[in-house]
Amino acid sequence: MSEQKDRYIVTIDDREFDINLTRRDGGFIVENNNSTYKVSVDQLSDKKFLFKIDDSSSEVDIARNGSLLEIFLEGKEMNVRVEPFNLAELRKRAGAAIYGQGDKIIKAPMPGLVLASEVKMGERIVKGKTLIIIEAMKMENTIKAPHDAVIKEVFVTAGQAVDKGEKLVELE
Amino acid sequence: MSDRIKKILVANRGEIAIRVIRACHDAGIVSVGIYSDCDRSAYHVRMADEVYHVGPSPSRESYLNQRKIIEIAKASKSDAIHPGYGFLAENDAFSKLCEDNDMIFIGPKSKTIALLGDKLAARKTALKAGLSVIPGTDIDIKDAKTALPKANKIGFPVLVKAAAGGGGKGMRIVESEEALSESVESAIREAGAAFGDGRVYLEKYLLNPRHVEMQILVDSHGNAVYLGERECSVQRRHQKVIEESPSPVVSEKLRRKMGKAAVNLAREAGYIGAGTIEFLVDRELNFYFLEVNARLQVEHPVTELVTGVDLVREQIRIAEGAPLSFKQDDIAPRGHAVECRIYAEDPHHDFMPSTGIITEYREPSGPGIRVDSGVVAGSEIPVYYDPIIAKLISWGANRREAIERTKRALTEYRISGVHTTIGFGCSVMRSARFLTGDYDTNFIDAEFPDKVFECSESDQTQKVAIAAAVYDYLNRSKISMTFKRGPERSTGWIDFHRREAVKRLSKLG
Repeated sequence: MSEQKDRYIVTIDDREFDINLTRRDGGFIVENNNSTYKVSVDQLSDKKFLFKIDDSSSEVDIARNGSLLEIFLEGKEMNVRVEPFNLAELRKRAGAAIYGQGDKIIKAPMPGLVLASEVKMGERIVKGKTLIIIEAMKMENTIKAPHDAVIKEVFVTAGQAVDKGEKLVELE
Repeated sequence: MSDRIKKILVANRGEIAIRVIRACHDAGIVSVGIYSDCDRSAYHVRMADEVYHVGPSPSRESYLNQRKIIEIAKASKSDAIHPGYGFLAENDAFSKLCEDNDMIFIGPKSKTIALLGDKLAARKTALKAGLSVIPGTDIDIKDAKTALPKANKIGFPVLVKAAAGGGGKGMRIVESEEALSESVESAIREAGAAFGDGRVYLEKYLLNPRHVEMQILVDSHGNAVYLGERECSVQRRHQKVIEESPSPVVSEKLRRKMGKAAVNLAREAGYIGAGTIEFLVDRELNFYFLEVNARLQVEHPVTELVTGVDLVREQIRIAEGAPLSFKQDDIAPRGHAVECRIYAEDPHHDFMPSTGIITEYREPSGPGIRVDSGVVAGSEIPVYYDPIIAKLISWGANRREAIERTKRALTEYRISGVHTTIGFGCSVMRSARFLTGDYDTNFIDAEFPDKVFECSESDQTQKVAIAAAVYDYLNRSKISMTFKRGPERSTGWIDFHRREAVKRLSKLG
C-alpha cells in the first residue's frame, strides 16, 4: 500500500505550524519545522489522550468548540485551529472574509452582571478605554478596548446579566 | 468554666469549609455543613457529617444569610459556628447575633471585630498601641469631590480603600488627580456590593513595599503568642497568590519586634482568638501597620507547617475557653513553607476569573506536600463565589527545598476544564528574582512584563500543535464513517472537512 501523507496547518495564537503526518506502525511519523517526531496516542477517556512524542509523554485533554479545538496541556488551555493544508490555503486566498471579525466583536469573558456600559454608539475610542464593567465573583472586571476604534454598536446595558461569550460591543 | 464543643456548624464553602471540617473530625467534633442551590453536591457537602440547605446561589441569600444560618445552627443543635474566611468571618453583626443566641462564634468578640474591621478605627487603635501607620485620612470619603483636597494633601499616588474591606475588594491605586473620581466611585460601588458598606478612605500609596504579616493566638485568659510571619508580597490585583514563611527579609530580631507589636495591638483591642496583623515593610525594613484580619487567613497553612501548630484546632480550644497549651518560647519555627494558591483564573488575560466544570482533577502528593482543596473532578466553579480551587503548600528543610518541591508538585497537578494559575505558580518558582527572595508587591508586573506563564520550559505549543493534528486526523477518519450522526452542530467548515475525507477515502479505494 502506498504511504499517504497528510499535511495540516495548525494555528495557535499567532503561531502557525506546518505539520505532515504519516501513519506508521499503529502510530504516526510527524514532520514539523525540519524535525521528525515519532508519535503515538492512547485514548484514556472520552476527552483525554496520552500522547507520546518521541520519548516524552503528555496527558492532553481535547474538546471541540465550534471550529476550534480546546486543548489542555499541563494546566494550560490553548485554542487551536486545525485545517488540512489545502483548506488553509484556500482560506488565506479568500482573505479574512470569514474569520476577519476577530477582535471587532467584544464578548463577555465570563458570565456576570453588567455594572456599567461606558461607551456610546458612534463614539471614537482609543486603545485601553474602558468599554464595559462586569461584576463576576464579587470583583469588578473592566473590559477595555483592544485597539483604537469607533463604537459601532453596544449590545448591553447596566444591570443586565450576560453569559460567557455574549456580545458586548462591536467596534469598527 | 469551659465546655467542650461537640458540634460545629461550618458557615462557609469550598476549601476552607473542608479545612474546618477536617479539624472537627480530628478533634472528634461533629461537623455541620450548609450549602446554596448551586453547591448542592459540592465537595464540602460530601465531607460534612450533616448538611442543610441555606438558600439560593447568590451569597447574600445563602452564605451571608445570618438569620438562616443561626436557625440552622440551632435546629442542628450545634454548639458553635466557624465562619472560615470571607463571608461572615469578620462581620460583627453576625458575631453579635451568635452572642445573643448563646451560640459560640469561633472568632473574636463582636465589639473587637467592629473595632478592627473598621479600618479607620483600627488605625487609631494601632497608634494607641504604639505602632507606626501609613499616612492617610482618618475619615471616610463620601464622594469624589471631598476626596480631591485630601488626596492632594497626602500626595499622589494614593490608595482608595474600603473601610469595611479586605481581599483587595474596593481598593484602587490612583496615580493622578484625573483618575481620582472614577476610582473613588467604582471603589464605593464595589465595596457596597461586596461588604454592604460603601465607605472608603485614602492612604498614601507606598511604592513597592513588601507585605509581611504576623500570626497571633490569644486565649481568654490573657495569654498571647505570635507564631512568626508570613511573606505575602506576590500579589495580583492586590490579592495574595503566593505566600511563604519565614519571610526572606525578616531576621530573628525583626521578628521579635514585629511579634511584640502584633501582641501589643491585640491586647489594646481586647482580641481573643486567632488573628493576623498585616504590615507593609519598606526597603529599610521599617514596618507600618496595615490592618488586622480578625479571622483565620487563607494562607494560615504555611505557619502550621513551620510551627507544627494546628491553628483551627487552637481556634476551637480558645472558643471552648481553654488556655493556650504553649508559651511564646515553645514556638520554634522549623524549615520553610511556601503556599501557592490555585485559582480558576486565566493568568494570560489579567487573571480573569474562569468558570465552568472541572473535567479532570488530580492532586500532587509526595514528600513535603499538602493540598487544601475544595473540589474534585466534576466540581463546578460557580460564578457566585471566589474562584479559589485549592492551595498547594510545600514544606522544605530550607527555602530552596520548599521552592523545588512546590515546582515539582505544580507540574504534577492536573486540572482541566477551567483556566488555572498553575502555570503562573511554576513561572514564579522558576523566577531568578523570586529565588533570591528580593521581591516586593510589584513583583508580577516587574518580572513578567509579557505575561507568559508556563510550567514547562520546553515548547508546549508545538506539542499541542502535533497533538491537534493527530487528533483531527483520527477524528475525521471516524467522522467520515458516521458523518450522518456527527456530534457537532453542522457548520460549513465541518461539512467541508467531511467532503474532503470522503474524497480521500474514495481515492484510496
